[in-house]
Amino acid sequence: MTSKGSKGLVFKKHEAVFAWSVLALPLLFYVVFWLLPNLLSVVYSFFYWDGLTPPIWVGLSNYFKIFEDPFLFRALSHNLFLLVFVPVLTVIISLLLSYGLVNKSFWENKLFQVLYFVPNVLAAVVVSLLWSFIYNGNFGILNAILIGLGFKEFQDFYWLASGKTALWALLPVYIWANVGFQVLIYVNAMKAIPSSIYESAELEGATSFQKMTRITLPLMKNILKVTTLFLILMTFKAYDIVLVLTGGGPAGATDVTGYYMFGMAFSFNRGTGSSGHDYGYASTIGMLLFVILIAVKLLLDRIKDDDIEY
Amino acid sequence: MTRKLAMGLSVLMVLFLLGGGLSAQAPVSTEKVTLKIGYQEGGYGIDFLTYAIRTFQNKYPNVTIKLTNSPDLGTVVSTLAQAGNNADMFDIFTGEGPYAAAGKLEPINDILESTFPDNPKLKVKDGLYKGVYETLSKNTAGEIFRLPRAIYVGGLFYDKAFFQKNKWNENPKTYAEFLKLMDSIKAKNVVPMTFSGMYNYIGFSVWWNKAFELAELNGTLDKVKGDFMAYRSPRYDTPEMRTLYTRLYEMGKKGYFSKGLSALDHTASQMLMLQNKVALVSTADWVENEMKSSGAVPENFQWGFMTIPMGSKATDTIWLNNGDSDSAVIWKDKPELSKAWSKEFLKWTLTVDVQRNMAKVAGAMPVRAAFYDSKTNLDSLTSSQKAISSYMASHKTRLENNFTVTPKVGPSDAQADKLFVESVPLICQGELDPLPVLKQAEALFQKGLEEGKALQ
Repeated sequence: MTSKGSKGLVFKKHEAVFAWSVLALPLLFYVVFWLLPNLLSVVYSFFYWDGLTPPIWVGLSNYFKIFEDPFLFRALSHNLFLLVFVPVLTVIISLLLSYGLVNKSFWENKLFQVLYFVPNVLAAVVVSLLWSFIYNGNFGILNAILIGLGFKEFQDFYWLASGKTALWALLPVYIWANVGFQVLIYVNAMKAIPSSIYESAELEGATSFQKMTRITLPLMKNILKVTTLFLILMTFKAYDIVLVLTGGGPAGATDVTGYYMFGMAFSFNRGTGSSGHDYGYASTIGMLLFVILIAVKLLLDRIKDDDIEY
Repeated sequence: MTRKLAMGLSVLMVLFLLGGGLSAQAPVSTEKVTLKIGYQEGGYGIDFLTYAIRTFQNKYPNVTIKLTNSPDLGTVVSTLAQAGNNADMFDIFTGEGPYAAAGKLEPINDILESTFPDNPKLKVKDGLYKGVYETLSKNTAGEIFRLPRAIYVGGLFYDKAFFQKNKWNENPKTYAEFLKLMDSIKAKNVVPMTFSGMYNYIGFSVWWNKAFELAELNGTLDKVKGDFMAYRSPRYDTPEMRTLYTRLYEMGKKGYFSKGLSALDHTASQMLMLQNKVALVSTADWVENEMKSSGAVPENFQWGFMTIPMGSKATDTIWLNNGDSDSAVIWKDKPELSKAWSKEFLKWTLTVDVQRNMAKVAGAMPVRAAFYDSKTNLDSLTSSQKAISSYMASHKTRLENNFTVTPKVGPSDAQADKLFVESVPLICQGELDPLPVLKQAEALFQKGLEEGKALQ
């Protein structure tokens, strides 16, 4: 007996059994812990549900509410700000560092690669705490450096407490936390480009900048597209750094959609001692986030993949 | 003759049983029972609880207690509650959460009306520390769900030696005296106050408790507290709240609060006080244990305690913010026998012996009033708790835990709270006028109530 796979592949019975035995458990985990909760979120978005009492059907009212929710639009605008800067700067910095690692044969290259990657093995909480020390107005290293350089006005200046600087101060944290992983990918992608292409270019008199912009970047287009997509997703979804570093403050100046959604589901009403869980409304915000991210994905898909063969 | 003897013995037996029943302290079947306790592990550790469990099981060998302790018990309870399997759920656990409002908890009013295991003449409600019983939160039907074992008291904590060195007033009895103290601190180039704006720690000194203090002075306490407890409007935009937050705003404009409040977590704000850069920090009595581990507290450091009086007379009542730092609730959908033994166990944790052990090994502030009658017991309290106890003994104070059971409300209610809480640090720095904020929060609160009506 045989099974027919896609593209007309024919499996023998024992091969099919083996394939299913390997796939069954991950598939079960995928369905139970990812697919089902996500599908349930769609359902919950039509209900008021505190997680304990039976859900109450509210129809589309949660969806109407999100469009008149100023807190949500404030959070989305902060996401948009991060979206403008984080993926672009992360990609540029990562490319420059990778280019240096691939083309400059310093003996410390391996060490640099490890150092760049360190933030990726740290939990977001640790990363956030490190930066909270850097930005601290009382004993932070950033102020110490600035004051040392003669900028006395930074004495007791709290970067994360000012509405003018707090959101900007998040940028280095996000970028620092993500550069290492991008460098790892880009270094490998750059190394995969045959050196003969660069050698030919050199014979033609190409400069380093020309080699980067005319050879390296075009040949890495597909990888850049994928990594940018992941960075966009991360920037939109992540709220752990905000949670630890600023708590969304000052006065909501760093609130992001994921954090706002989390608050609606789990933690608002902290001030009055009461606790209100509104999984329905939080799920509706999640749906909005889902639609936005799908739109971004479709937009990126319009950039055609190149069939690259070396 | 035999019949008469049998009759006599029967009557004797009935009388004996009746007598025994009336005098029994724990009229609970001695059938074997297993209780599951979930404990939110935090700064108090679990040694005090294991002591209570051990002594209880020694007295009642038919009861087996299984303890689950976790620093993230809330998630465990929440998962069990959502799974809806009552058999798996803890009989007793920490934290009322949303379960009281959802009708999932057993009322404990009968525990409060019964007597202590170690004092059969004293009702539990009459044997709790000054003002604790009055602060227990009730639903509209008067049901109480959470039994406190230890309390915290919040306020402004300071370095006594630093105050004494500068000859600052450690005992301001009126609002005017407090402002004078602020000026004298500022005159020495020290920032008077700080708090963690990230976690709204000003709330440990100034929260609804101070609005109630002002309401008592205005003669509107019943109305203001009634609206608060019934979750009615007005809540934010009341004359008392306007006065209170305008006072904070004015203090902020005079520079009485440190810079960068929004970025300070509790450790950073407390550190500023220990460094004597700031004179007073708003937090609660656990600050002493919390900072001990930071290594920043000098040997023989003496903690002082005060709060902001709202009145103009030294005899006015000062409302202190408090809450239970350790408490327990009982899950409702459990067999009657388990619930009866759960109640017996909770009462056991209020015996003076267990409470004494709790103060000693956990550094907690016990709720049993009898604990405070002994000098030896008082000596076992931390320096910050002694300062609170002494403050409460020398002032006319009232405790308030600012807790209400929320009915079903729409998302605008959470937005009102969010707007208010996130604005407080900027108000305290004199950067944000509180009146429009309170107005906006009230409008959102009213909208949340309206949204809630559709859910009833």
